Amino acid sequence: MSSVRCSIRFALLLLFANGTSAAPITFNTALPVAKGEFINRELLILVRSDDAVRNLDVTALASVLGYGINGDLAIFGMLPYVNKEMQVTVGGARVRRSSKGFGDASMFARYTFFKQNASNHTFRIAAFGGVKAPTGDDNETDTLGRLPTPLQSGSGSWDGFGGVVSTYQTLAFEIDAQLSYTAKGKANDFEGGNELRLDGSFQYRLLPRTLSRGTPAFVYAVIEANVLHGSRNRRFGNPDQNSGGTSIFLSPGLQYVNKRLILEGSIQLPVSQDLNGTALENDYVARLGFRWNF
Amino acid sequence: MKTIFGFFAAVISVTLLFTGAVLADETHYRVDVEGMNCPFCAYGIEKKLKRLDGVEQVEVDLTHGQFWLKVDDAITMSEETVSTIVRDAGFTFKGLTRHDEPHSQSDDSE
Repeated sequence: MSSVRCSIRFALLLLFANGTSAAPITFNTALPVAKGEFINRELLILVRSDDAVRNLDVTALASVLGYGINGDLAIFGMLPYVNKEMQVTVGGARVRRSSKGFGDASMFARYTFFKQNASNHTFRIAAFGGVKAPTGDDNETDTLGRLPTPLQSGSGSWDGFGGVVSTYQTLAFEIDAQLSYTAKGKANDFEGGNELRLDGSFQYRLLPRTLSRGTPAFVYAVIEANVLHGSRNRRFGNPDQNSGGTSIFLSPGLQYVNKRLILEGSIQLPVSQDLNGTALENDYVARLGFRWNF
Repeated sequence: MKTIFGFFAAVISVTLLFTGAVLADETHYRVDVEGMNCPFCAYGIEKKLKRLDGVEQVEVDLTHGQFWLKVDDAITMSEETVSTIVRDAGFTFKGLTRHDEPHSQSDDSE
């Protein structure tokens, strides 16, 4: 049951795997997508969680496509391919259950309602909102029967999410902050706990040390902080006492940015996990990917 | 000796004439943009500017927030067109100025 918590959190991590400009790795940005332009992001996400008797490994490839409607409005779509494997020790024996397939697709729009552009910086605030559709299989089975909800590729539910993100960017550094909320729907007598999330990111240009004419590629050192609070899941209308809680993560990373391509990687590590009951804690979330303009 | 001198004089004259003709066929524009602070952000504008009639080359100067265009001399760049491209990319258009010299020979402090 406690793996539910981990799975819900993983879904949330995927929600913000969108791609725009040089930007935070673990969440959104307010930087624009030019009108009529497409941006693609491919992100490999590895999640590891375990305790004395259980371990859950999730590998996902999230494909994101962004399109600029105009200088202020952009739309995004995201589809993950997920591979989940859980091993539990029961009576001294190790039981392994797994699934793989396309997960739930997300679509959202982002509108920049405030921007202040100057010769050496930009400051923007954008609102975003969207839905996660139940496109993934939520009725997978193995030799032991139907897989538990957290192990399914899809959740089966429609979820809504929205928030506000702001970006301050100069040639030397960038700061991003985001506040978001996800409301979970109900499916298969299961309703995931709603999530409140606060994120911050600081990106500092390491290379080139000094700028000259032209458009050199940048290398950024990235440090991000994520605070997640989830309410308890509900099964058959009753709260799951082993779900929900508050977690704080720190994510150091690196980004290489040129005119058409961004290469990036980060490792998200738990600083504090104050989870309810026996909810399974995350060990790490690793991300490796690229974004490109076309 | 007189023949050799005459030959070189003719070659130099033709070269100068040809160079002058080539230089007269192109002009340069500088587009000033505010809010653009990373290489990835510049691409949306650069791509659209390259598609404009008569634009032969686009050079991005991120440090100064400028795009330098090498343009066929027969073409006059429209400020309205360029400002729309910049605005549609999410940035602020500050001006379009014509230059006789390419970026490499211009004063950055302009």
